[in-house]
Amino acid sequence: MRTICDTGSIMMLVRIAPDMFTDSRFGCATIPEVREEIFQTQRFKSKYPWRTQYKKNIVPLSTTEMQSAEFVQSFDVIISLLSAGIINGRTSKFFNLSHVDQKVAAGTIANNCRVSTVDKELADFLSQEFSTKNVSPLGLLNIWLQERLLTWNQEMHLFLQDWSTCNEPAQPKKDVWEFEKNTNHPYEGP
Amino acid sequence: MLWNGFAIKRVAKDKKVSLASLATQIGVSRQTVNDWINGQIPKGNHLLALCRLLREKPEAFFKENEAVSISVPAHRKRKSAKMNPEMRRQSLQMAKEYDLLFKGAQQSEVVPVIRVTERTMENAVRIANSLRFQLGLSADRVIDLRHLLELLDLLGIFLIFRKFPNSIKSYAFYSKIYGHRVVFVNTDTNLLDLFFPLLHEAIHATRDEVDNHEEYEEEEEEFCDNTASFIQFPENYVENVHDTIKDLPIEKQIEKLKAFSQKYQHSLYGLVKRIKGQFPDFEISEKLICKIDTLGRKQIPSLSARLFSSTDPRDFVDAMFKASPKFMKLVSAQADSLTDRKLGELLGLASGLDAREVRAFIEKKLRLDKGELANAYNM
Repeated sequence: MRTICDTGSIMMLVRIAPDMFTDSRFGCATIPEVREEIFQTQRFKSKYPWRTQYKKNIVPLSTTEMQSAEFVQSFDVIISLLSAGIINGRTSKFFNLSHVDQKVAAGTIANNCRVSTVDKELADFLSQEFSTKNVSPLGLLNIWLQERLLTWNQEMHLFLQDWSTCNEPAQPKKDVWEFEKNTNHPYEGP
Repeated sequence: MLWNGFAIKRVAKDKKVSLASLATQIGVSRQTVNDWINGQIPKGNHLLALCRLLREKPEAFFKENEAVSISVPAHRKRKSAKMNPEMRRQSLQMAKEYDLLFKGAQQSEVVPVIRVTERTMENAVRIANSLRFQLGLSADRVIDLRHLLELLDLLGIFLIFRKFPNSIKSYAFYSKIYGHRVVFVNTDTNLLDLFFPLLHEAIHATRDEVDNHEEYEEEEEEFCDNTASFIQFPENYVENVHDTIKDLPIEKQIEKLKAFSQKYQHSLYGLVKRIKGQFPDFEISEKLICKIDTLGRKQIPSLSARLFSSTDPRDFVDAMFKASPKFMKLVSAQADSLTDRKLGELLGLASGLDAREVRAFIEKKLRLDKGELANAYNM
């Protein structure tokens, strides 16, 4: 199953799996706005100084895919739902998504994908309204390890340790446990 | 927009699809379809299926909110820039980004309303003096940034700082969103230019009994102008400046005026206009004053440089809580329902800041404030 990756997820994974978007076995995709965000957010310059090395690796969905009837329809549905005021069951408050969030959501629904986002509210919206599964960056890594798309090595381990330095969000416990089982390495990330 | 479930019945009939068949094809019970018709909004995947099945756009099942939830009255334009439909559309678009935030604001509060029988100069002075008195400003003191922000808070105004697109040629504009008074401020505005438009919009916002969904009448604009001007420059200050410069040669007058402008961070144009109003015999070239103001702007920072120049999220959060406490409390209360990007959008975050880090500091600040409160009450 394909996965639409959001900014946070990409920044955590692209150094470990630089081919995540170019090798179809990884099944990852993203939208042009996310790519733009990665390279245009000034703050990321200091937080992720290595990001420009991966410019060629982060390949977003094509314009044709972003303008497909499915995408447009999904996007319209999302806009209508949000403007009517949909309550998030977890927080009991209105879902409030930005334009780019809406596009990430539309890309996920239109392509019948799962999503990998570290944004709880976006994950809540997709799960509640479209029964879309969110897979954590570590969860995605586990899938790749199990499918033998990656062989864990010291360099990858260092990148993973960097997640804590960059204040990345804590990963689900079950994914941590699975990671240790997959790699025989202690998990040293957040 | 509002959900209009009855449209399902109508569209299905037009397309000759029975409601039973509709339910089966979407994979829900007939009762669920009835619930939608009776007002329950379908889940996203069901709405998508409904649109696909009936070959309709989602808008077909929604209707516009009849009660106007957001208004952006025609606002004061900057210099000679003309108000145009694009400017209005963009302002409304910006206000709409805050739609759900204010819709979800469960706030009942007492807010003051400026009520006048006649929009005369005397009443403008009276209102201005009353507001200045509430701020504890002495009669000869020019309003400073701290007091300006305090006044907006006092008037129940949510202050939102955003970098305006080029098409919105305005320093600030007022919008009423779900009954809340909101004033948007362009962060590119130089501090010299900030006070008057902000006060002007604040007065508009507080004139709650005026029908202002579309455009203000000229008399209302003038009343807001006068009140704003008297709040900024009280009569005693104007008199003091006038007495200081009246018998000086022009070069000395300019020098003294510049000193007043630098010291109290206000433009000279507004001040000179007030001096001319209070002392009709006083003469000075307005063109020259505008020129001096232009030079003065180079020495005084813009709002963004003064308040939001740091790239440390902690500084940003602190500055925002000081500058716009009402708005920040609202954002904080709903932070758990905002995506990081939406939080960044609402706070007008420059790309030098990471919304996730800003969120972490907002949460930290809230925890600290709660802790302080608990300590204060020995809880």
